Amino acid sequence: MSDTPVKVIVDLSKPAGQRQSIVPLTAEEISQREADILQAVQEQAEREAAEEAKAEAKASALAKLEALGLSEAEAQAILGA
Amino acid sequence: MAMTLVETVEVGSGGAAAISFTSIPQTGKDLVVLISPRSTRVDTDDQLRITFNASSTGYRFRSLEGDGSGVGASDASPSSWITAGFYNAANNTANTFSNFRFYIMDYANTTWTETFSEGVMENNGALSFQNLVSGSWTGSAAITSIEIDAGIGNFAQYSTASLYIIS
Repeated sequence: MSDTPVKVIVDLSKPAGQRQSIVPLTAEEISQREADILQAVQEQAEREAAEEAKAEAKASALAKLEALGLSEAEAQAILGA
Repeated sequence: MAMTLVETVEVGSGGAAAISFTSIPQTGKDLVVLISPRSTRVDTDDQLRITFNASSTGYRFRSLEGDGSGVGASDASPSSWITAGFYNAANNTANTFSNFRFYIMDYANTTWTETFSEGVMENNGALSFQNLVSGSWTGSAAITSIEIDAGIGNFAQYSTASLYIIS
């Protein structure tokens, strides 16, 4: 991999066969990309935390339903599991 | 109706952070971008993003995601891009690529642009994703360029993107 990120530009104003070029990202594009990556990593962490909390809540609900006397299959049917 | 291939890009051995189609001819009605990406990110997945006319404002999208065992939904309004969904990254089975279709309606419209995308991440393993995304961009110009961003990693070698014009 190159140290400087690159992008492939396809300039459709040019004739076929001459359209594609590989250019390094500008300093502004690199800065924006780094900010975007931070945002994406944060959003992923939030999404994974939400999914984990949802799974824990579901497991807790399942255990409580079974404690009330429902079979595991009945409890899962209620929860849509 | 005709669907005409304009150009196909295949990423080379150095990888690429983005693929950008510029000076898009204003001769059609709709645009279709078919993408087969894999990311160099050291993780199981990365996020495919699309922007228009080098703009980082005015996007909205809603997505429905399935992973084989559950479903999720998200709403991003406003956003700096439209996320098309999750795609294969470096920790997944070697040489597996994802597939996305991005449909851009009435791209010469100067007041509003609507999009729809669908994509799958098949891993030949336990983890896979299916993504449906509706999006919009409020830019007041016809779409003359489309940038497909690799997300956190780079597009790996042999990733491809093809632009079609519907007329």
